[in-house]
Amino acid sequence: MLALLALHLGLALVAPAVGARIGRRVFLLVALAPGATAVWAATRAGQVLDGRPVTSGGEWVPGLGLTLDLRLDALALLLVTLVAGVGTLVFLYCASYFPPRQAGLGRFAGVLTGFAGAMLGLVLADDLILLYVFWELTSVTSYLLIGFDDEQEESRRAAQQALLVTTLGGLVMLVGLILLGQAAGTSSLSAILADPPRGGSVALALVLILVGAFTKSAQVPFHPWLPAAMAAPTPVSAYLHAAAMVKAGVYLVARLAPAFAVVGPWRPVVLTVGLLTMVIGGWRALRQYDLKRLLAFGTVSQLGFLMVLVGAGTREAALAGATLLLAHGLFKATLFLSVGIIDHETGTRDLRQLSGLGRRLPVLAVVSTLAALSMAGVPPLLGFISKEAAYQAFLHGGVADTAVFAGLFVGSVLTAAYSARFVWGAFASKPGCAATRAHDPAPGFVAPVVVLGVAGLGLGLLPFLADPLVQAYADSYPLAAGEEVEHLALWHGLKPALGFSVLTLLLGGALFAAREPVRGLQRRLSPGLGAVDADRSYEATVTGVDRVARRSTSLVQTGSLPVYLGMVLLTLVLVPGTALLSGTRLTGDLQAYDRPLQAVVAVVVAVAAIAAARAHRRFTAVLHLGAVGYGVAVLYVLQGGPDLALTQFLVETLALVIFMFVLRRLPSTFSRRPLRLSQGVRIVVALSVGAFVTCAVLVSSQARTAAPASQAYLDRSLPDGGGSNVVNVVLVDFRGFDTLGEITVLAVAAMGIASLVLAGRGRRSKQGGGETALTAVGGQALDDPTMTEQQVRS
Amino acid sequence: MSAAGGGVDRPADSGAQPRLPGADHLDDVRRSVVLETAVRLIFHTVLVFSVYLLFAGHNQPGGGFVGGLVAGAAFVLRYIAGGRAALAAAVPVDPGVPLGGGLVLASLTGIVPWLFGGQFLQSDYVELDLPLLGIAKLTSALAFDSGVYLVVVGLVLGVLRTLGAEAER
Repeated sequence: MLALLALHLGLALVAPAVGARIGRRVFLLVALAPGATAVWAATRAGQVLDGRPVTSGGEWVPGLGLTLDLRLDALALLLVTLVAGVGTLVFLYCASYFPPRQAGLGRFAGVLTGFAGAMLGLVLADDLILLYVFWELTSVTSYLLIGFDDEQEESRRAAQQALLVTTLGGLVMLVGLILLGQAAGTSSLSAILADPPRGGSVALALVLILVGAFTKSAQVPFHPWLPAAMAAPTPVSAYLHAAAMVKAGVYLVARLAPAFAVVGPWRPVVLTVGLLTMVIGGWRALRQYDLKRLLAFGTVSQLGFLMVLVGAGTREAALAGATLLLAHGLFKATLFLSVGIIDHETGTRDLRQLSGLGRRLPVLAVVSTLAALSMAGVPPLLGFISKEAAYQAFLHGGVADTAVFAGLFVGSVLTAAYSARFVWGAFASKPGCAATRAHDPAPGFVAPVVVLGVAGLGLGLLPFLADPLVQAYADSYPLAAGEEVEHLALWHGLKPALGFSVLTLLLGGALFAAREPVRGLQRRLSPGLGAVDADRSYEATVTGVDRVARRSTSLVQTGSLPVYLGMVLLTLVLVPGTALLSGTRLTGDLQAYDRPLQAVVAVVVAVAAIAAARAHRRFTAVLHLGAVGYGVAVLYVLQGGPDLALTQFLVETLALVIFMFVLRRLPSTFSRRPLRLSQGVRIVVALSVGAFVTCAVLVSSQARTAAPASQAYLDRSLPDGGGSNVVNVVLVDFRGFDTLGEITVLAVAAMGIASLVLAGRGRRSKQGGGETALTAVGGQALDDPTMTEQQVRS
Repeated sequence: MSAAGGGVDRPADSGAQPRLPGADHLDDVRRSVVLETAVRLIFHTVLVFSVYLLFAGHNQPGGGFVGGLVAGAAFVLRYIAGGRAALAAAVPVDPGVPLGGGLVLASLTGIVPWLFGGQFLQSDYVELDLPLLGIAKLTSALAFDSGVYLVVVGLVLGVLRTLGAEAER
C-alpha cells in the first residue's frame, strides 16, 4: 500500500517537468497512479470482502508513537473504488478537456495526482494522526486545484475560502482526534473502534471531530465553500467535489459511527446537521442558472443525505448510506463531466442560453439523463435502490425516526425537482431560445462519461454486483436478534417505501413543473433568509478577523521604541518579579566583595551609569555607556575570567563604533522632555528593573540545589574535548549545538540590519526623512552586544 | 574615531601616492596621514593575531568568537581610516560570503560525524608532528570554531557596509 502512495507521490513530482514537454498528454501518464490503485484494490477485493482486511505497517516517528499503519477493509475498499476508479476516468477525461498546451498544466497534473494520493492515504490510514496528515494534505492540494486559474479573483477567493473553512475544521478535528487518542490510550483507529472508550472527554472529542467532518463535507453552516469552489476547472469539481474530497467527512463519520453513534451528542448533531444540509442544498439548487452551481448545491444536499445515512448508526441506514456513496460518486461525476463537455463545446453553462442540445449531442444527453434519473431516484438505477433502502431504514421506528424520514422525504422531493431542472436546463429545446451551437466532442472525451453513467445503470439492474461491497460495510453493525440480512434489490415488494418513492417523484415533478411560481416564492423569501446567509457570515468573519488584527496591531505596534522597550521591561518586572517577591527570601550571608578593588570598579561603573542616564548630549551618553561596559569587563578580569573579559572588551569596542555610525545621523543632543510625567514613568520603570535584576541575581546565586555542572566540564574538557580552555571547549564542543544556533541568529541579525537600512533608504527617497529607520537600526545595533554576551555566557 | 568625522591631520602632500589602498577616494580634508599609516602598519598584525586567537582558543583564552571580533576590529580600523573604498579594497567579497560560508562550515562539522556513525557535532582530534612547529593537536572543533570566526567577521563587515555606508551618505 505504501508503494501505491509512493507511486502517486513520484508521478506528482515528475508531472510538472513532463507536462512542460508533452502538454496535456501528461494526464495519460499520471492516470497510471489511480489506475494501478484500482487494479490492486480489485485483486484484494475478495479477501477484504471475506472479512480479512489487508494491513501494512511502518514506523514513522517511533519516539512519538507515530506509525504509517495502513488498512484496507470494506469501507476503505468502497472509498478506494471511488477514489481510484472515478479518479482514473477523470484523469483520462482531463487529457481531452484542457487545451493541448495550456500553461501550468504539468503542475496541475502533479497537484491532482498528489491529491489522489492524499485521498488514498486518508481512507487507508489506520492511525489518527496519519489520517489527520492526509486530511490536511487534501485541503492543501484542493486549495491549489481550486485556485488553478490564479489570475481570476473569483478563483483566488474561492480557493482561500475552501482552505480557511476546511483547515479551521481540520484543526478543530485535530484536537478531537488527540482527545480521542488520549481517552483510548492508542492512536490506532482499528484498535479504538474495536474497543471504543467512553466518558465525557470522548463526547467532546466526537463533537470536535464532527466539526472537522462537517467542514470537509460542506455541511450547513460551512457549505458555501463548495459552490464557490466551482471556480475550479470542471474535472476538479467532478473529482474533488463529487467523488473524492467532500466524501472525506462522510467517510470519517461512516468510520466512527459503528462504535460511537450511541454516544450522547452524536445522533442529534449528525442527523440535524445532515437533514438541514440536505433541504437547504436542494432548495438553493432549485434556483441556480449555472449548471455547475446547480450541481454544486445538489452535491451539498446529497452530502447531507449521506451524512444522515452513515451517521444514524443502524445497520439498515449504513447499508443505504454505503450504496448511496457509490451511486452518488457515479452519477455526480457523470453529471459534472457532462457539464464540462457542454461548457467546452458550447462555451456556456448558463441554462437560459442552452437549447436543443439533446438533439445535438444525443450520446451525452442519454448518459447525463441516466445519471440525473439515478440522482432523482428513478428505477432501475442505483440511486433508486439507495433511496429506497434509506426510506426503508427510517420507516419503522419511533418519533425520531419518523422526523428524520420526513426530512429525507422533503430533501428527496427537492432532489427530484432539481434533477429534472438539470436535464431540462442542459438538453431541452426551450421556446424563444435559438438552438445552441456546439462542436462535436472527441470520442475519448465522452468515453469516461459514458463508462460512469452506464456503471450507474448496470449496478442498478444487477444490484448483486454491488451488494457484497456495501454489505461488508454494513456488517460492522451486528445483526439484531431476528433481523434478516437485507440485500440490495430493485423490487422489495409492495411496501410503504415504494409508495413514498413514487410520491417523491410525483411531487418532485410537480415542483419542477411549477418552477415559475416556485421561483417567485424563493425570491420573496430570500431577503428574510439573507440575514442568515452562511456565505455572508463567512465574509463577515473574515473581514472581522482582519479588522481585529488591524486594530490590535495599531494598538500594540505603535512604532515607538521607548514604548516597546517599556513594555518588555514592565513585563519583566511584573511577571517574574511577582514570582520573586512571593516565593523566595534572601538568607543573610551575603558578601559585599571578594577584594576591595572590586568595590572600586563597581563604584566607577555605577557612577558612569548614572552619568549616562543624565547626559544631555548623545555622544556623552554613549561614552559613559562604554565606560560601564569596560568596567564590567574589568570585573571579569578580577574574577578570573579572561575569555569573558576579552570578549566583553571587544564587543564593547565594536558597539561603540557602531554607535558612532548611528550618532552621525542623529541630533547631537537628546530632545528635551516637556512632560514631567513621561520622565517620571521612565525613572520608575528604570529603578524597578534595576531593583528586580539585583534581587534576581542575588536570589538565583543562592538558589542552587544541584551540584554545579562546571566541575564535570572541567574534568571532561581535556580528555573528551581535546582542549584545556574549558570555556572554548564548552562553546564549540559540549554545547556546540547551542553555538550553532547562536551563530545562525548572528547571521539573521546581520541580514536584518542590512534589510532595515535598505528599507529606510527606500522610504527616505520617497519622503525625504529616514528618522524612523535609523532609530530602528540603532535599536538593532543595541541588540548586538546583548546577543554576543549571551553567547559568551553559554 | 573622531578623525573619521572631522579629519584631524590634513596631509602635507596631498596627491602623493596612496598610503592606504582605496583611501584616495576620500576628500583630502577627511584623510589623516597618521591614521592611515598606523592602520597600514597594524592591520595585518591584528589579522594574524585574530587567527592566533582562533587557533590558540582551544587551550588558552581566545577562540573563534573572540578571534572574529578582533578581525572585525581590524576591518573597523581600515574603514575608519579609509572609508568604504578602503574596506572594499581589503575585503573584495560580499559580507554574505563569510556569513554563509561560516554557517556552512559549522553545519558541515556537525554533519560529517554522522557519516562516520557518530553523533551530530561529535568531535575528534589528531596529533600531528609538523616540521618546525613541533607537535600540534588538531581538533575537529577547530573547523567549527572557524565557522564561528567567519560568521562574526561577516557580521562586522555587514554592519560596516550597511550602517557605515548609510552614515556616509
